[in-house]
Amino acid sequence: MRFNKIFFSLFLLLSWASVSAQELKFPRPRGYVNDFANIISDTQELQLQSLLLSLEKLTTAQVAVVIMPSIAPYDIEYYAVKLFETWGIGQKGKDNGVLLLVAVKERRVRIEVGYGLEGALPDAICKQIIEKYIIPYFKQGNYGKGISAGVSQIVKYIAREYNIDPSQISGYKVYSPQPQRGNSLIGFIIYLILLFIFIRIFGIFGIFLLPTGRGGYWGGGGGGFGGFGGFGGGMSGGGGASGGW
Amino acid sequence: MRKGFAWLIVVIIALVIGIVAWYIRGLNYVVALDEKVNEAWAQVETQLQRRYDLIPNLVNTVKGYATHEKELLTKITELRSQWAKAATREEKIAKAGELERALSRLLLVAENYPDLKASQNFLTLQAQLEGTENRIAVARMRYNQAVKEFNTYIRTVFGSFFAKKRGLTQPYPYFKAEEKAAKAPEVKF
Repeated sequence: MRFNKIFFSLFLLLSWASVSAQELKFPRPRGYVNDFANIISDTQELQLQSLLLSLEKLTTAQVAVVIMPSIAPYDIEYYAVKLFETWGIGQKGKDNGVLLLVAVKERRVRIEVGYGLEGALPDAICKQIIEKYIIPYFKQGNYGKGISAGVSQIVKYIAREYNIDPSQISGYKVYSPQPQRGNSLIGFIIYLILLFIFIRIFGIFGIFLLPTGRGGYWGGGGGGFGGFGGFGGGMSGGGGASGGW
Repeated sequence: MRKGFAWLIVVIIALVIGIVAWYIRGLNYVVALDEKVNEAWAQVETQLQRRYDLIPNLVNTVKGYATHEKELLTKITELRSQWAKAATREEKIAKAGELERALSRLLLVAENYPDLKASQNFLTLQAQLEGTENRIAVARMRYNQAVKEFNTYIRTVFGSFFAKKRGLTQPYPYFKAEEKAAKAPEVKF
């Protein structure tokens, strides 16, 4: 009897160890942009890399783009939060990371927002970015443009959070929202209003709050893209939005 | 001989230090696991509260369009106040599950009202609700992970010993996801 109990406890201890070891496996990050499905061109990838590098230099926020051929059997929400946690996108403590995840076979997109940027990128805004900027291009099969437009929107909102004019970020391009049945005019007006508000905010604070960058840190990139210094250990908690095409 | 004796003393002292360190570590570890569960639960409650705050707005928006769903809306409002009154963790988990089912039914029902689906207000609320449900799912997953670690540890040989010493022998309840709504309600439009 007693032996049995001890044996059972040992078994539990062992199974506990194996349970915590058995987890979803992810590839190692190559840089800000990780096109594991090879659906965007090298030029677009490089442009995005340099845009996201300058964003991090100015704000310390990290945006990761990950394109997976398939994420089966998981759903995109679960996969995104686990990937975010494993890579640690954003700075530790600030949790200022964003993950744009595309699952090609499942035809699903998700923007997962780190705790620290949930104010800058609320769920409804993420939903709009997916519906109005990413999916219209994806429907035409133009993945590169959809991702560029989506990232440019994400960058815009993050820059605003840090009181920086997005046009100061090298490589930033403006994309217009794509028509999606109905209320596109309202969307455009909202867009203009937001732009106007932003210019106001920038005009008052922007110049004074411009960070000076973080010198020497950028030397030792972890292979892949020069300048990418690895992700910083940020966390997310399921904020953001998903969509399909 | 003398030298051998000195070595023996050193070994015994090292052993004693080792055992004391192990003992203290054990006492601390079980508390750390316990704290992790409580922290994860606090996160679950924060997210459930977020859902709670969203409901009045959602109910009011739907009420204007979906005139035949009074019963469902009343039920949601009732469940909301019942959740707020729930005292124990088990009760809160049960009420949250019922609320989740009712809310996913509401989103499903909304499909029948084109005007509602087209309203900008509803679209925003829907995105917020989806995001909230997903946050709850994440908080729940992390809570269950912490509970699993704790509940398993207090049943292991040394774990149960340290747990008894600390008076932490009660396993925590898991927060099981609703079978029907294992993921955030999804509505195509």
